[in-house]
Amino acid sequence: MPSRRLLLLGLSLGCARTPRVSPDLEASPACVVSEPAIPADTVSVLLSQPVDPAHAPVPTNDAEALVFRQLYETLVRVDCEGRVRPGLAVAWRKEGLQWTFTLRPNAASWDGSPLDATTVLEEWRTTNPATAVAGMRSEGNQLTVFLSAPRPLTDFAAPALRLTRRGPESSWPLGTGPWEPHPEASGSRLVATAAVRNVERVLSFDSRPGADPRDLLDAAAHVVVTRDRGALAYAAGLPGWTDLPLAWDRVYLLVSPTTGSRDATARAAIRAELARDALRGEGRPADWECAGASNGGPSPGQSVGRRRVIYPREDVVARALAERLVARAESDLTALLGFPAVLAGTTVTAVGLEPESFTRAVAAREDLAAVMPVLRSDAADCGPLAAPGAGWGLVEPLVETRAHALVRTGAARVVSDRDGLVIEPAGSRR
Amino acid sequence: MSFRLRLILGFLAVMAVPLAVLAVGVRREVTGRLTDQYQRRIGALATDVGARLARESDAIARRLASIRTALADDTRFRLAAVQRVPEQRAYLLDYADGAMRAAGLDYFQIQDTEGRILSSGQFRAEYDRFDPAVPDGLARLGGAPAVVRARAPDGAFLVLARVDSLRVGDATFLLVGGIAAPRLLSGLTSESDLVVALVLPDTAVATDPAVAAALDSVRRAAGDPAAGLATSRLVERGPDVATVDPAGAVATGQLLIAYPTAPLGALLRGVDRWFLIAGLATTAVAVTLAVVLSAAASRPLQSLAKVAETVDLERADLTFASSRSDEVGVLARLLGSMMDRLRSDAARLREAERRAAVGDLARQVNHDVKNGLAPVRNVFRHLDEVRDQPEQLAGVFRERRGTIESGITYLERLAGQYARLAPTVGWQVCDVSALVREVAAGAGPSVRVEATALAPLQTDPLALRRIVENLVRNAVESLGEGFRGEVHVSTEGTPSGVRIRVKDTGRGMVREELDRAFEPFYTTKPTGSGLGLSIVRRLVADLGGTLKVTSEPGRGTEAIVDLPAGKTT
Repeated sequence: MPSRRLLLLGLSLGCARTPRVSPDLEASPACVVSEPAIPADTVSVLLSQPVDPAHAPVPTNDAEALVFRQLYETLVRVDCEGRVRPGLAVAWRKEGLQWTFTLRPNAASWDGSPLDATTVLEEWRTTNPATAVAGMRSEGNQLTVFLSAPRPLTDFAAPALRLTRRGPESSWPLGTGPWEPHPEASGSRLVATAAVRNVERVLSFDSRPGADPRDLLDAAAHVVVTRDRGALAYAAGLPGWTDLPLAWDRVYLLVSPTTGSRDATARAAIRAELARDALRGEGRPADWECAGASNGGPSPGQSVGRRRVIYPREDVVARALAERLVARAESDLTALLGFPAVLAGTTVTAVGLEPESFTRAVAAREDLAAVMPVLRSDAADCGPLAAPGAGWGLVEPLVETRAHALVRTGAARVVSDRDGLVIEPAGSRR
Repeated sequence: MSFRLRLILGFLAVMAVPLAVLAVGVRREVTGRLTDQYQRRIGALATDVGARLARESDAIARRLASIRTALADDTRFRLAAVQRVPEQRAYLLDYADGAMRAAGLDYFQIQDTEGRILSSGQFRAEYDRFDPAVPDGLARLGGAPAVVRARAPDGAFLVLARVDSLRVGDATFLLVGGIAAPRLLSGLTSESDLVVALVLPDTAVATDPAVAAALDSVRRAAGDPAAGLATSRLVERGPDVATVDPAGAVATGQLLIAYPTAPLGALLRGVDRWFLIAGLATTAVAVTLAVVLSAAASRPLQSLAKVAETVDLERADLTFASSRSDEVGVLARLLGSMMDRLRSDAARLREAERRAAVGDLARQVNHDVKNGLAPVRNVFRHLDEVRDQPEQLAGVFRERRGTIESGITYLERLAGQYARLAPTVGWQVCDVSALVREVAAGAGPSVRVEATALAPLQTDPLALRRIVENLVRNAVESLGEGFRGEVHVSTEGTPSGVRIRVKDTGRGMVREELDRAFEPFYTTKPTGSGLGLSIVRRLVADLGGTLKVTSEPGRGTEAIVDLPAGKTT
């Protein structure tokens, strides 16, 4: 995991956005999804995917993204309009390639241990030895980060930079967020509590993997996150529910050991067609190129192992994309892969694999191509996939998707950030 | 070949051969009948499979007709397919999936008249692909079903498909749907053992993958699929099935119904196994019976043979008594009768011998007496010559007195010797062992006695003493000078009386000596009379017993006297 977080930190510090220097303490009204007059003491969130504490703080699915977002903090937050807001840090300033953050007074972990800049620095050095960071320094509650190149402030809101500490007992890493997992939380049910003015607020997560999201809406849920088109249509017909589109956070890549096509026009047309018709859910053509791709692979006509386009079995979007590429193997897939000789006289199939099998098959690079989802922030520059020597001749972004948060109006104050939904404990509004 | 072996072979022949004939006959009959039954059953099943295939085809047609009716009333479909409204395109793309599932089909797609796929149930992403060959091929069949190769994301699969058409406005749409071949084939029969296979020009499918592989192999070799299966299965040809290949060419496929012969083989193996068990059991019973019966038959014969083995003139008292009423009893009684005659002949023989001996003795006595009297007669003749000359008479008497005395002494001694030959039997109760111990006690230190307590015996003690004394003296004398060796005297009871055994370790006798040992006056000893064993044999015979002498030169002699218990008190 440290190596993964190292990678993510490096990636997250690579985006090019204009930084804000002064903090906005109040969320934009446009980002407030729900503002009840009398919030409920207990907020119930139903999830249709599993949640694994071992993945914290970097999520691997929508359910983990929602849960981890409530439990762990970054130095700063970025709201739905892109404005930077306080997180663990309440103030910050930029001096050249140097960012200095002032931490929240009396910041502490869930176990009560105080948290100062030195603690953050040590944790980051332990778990996030970022290569994009030239150095760090702590002084009191001030943490200074020296960058090797200009980076926007919003990069410090990346999930990989959420502050976590390993606790001695709980399976959950210790965090600093307002919601603290119940010590005995395990299995499919997680109860997090927050004490606000000596009143305990409860945030209940109930994971029901594979459940129909419409069933979750029918249950006594306050928040449901889904990408299912049918569930969104169903929620639209239900009174009291707000549909909040979240950020376009997932990109589906077509990777292949073959050399990709240079025909940008054809590739753009294929992306558009895939986003419009191939997906059963919401999608849009990927809006960026994967620089550095087409840097290897076999020469035209060279044999490339099994004639399969593999995808993660449980991912319906990846399946739809893979099947469409197979259905149009003679045209679309050939156009993307760059040379028809690879497919001449062969039958290409789409094969869904279990997650472990899919990971092994991708690493083996024995299949014609693979459709794989990556987080949007992770794939900002295609990451290591397109790096020389990675073995991929083609890394082609196809489409992007996003989830929707369905919030029952009047249950809790819910704010939309760029990286997800924030459920605030009742009465905690600063 | 022994009687027992003959009996065993006989029993086996009598029992096993008919059983083997029965087994072969029953097996042949069972095989024939079961094969006929199986063949008839498979024929009936083939007919049923044909009917089911027709029903499935009709069902496909009805489902397509239902979809056609629904589509005709579907405004969104009309908007998407006819008016091509972009907002309804997703509805059209997803329509075939829902309709296919609702209709219970495995394959369904909507195509326009140019062959472009508007919506595909089994492969949603196939939209906009042109595939006019299959609907064209199906149309050429006049609406009849055909097996076609449908595409799916993970590969192609065979379906039994039909085509229908729908006209909306000015546009015509083709509805192509069907049932996957595996599901179709498995639904054609309810028999789990029955294999339904479909052999097409380019592939073969079956409800049993092994059969499909075998058929495909036969097909590749351009062989007859039915014949290829006939080695392991009973095969029946079903109705022909049309097929349309991806290029639209129409051909004919073959439906086969196969039933494994393994159950029949297992049944026959079971019959064989039970017949084998029966054969083994029969063999075991036959052998056992033969052994028991042969033993029952041969045991009394062996007993008779054992008795007969000991029969000789000295053992003429043996009997072959039997209470059996069968052939063995008859044989025993015949042998007993023979023994009676043998005993009678033996008695006559002994009498003849005795008379011969008496004659010999009389001649010997006559000769001896004459020899003894001859000097006396000469003396008296001399005396008679001088009876008138008293002065010479006294002188002659004195001169010839010695001759007279010598003759008289000779005669007396001769009389004494012959006196010992006189038989005098006086029956009394006698303790045989005590008598033997008494005799042996006076015979010297080299005699060892082993006399057990016996029941008193009615016999002649004097004769018995003479018997024992003669035998013991002969045995002691056989030891030679110094009496090296020993004499062992023993008594024992026998089923018929008492046995006295005198055995020495003396010089023994050669065959010729043993043959003449019973002759009167035959002796190998310088001082022997030659009458010992002769007297003993006579005395034993007088007592109704038998005497048996065996001898081996250099190792000794053994005399066995068996006295009957006929007079036991």
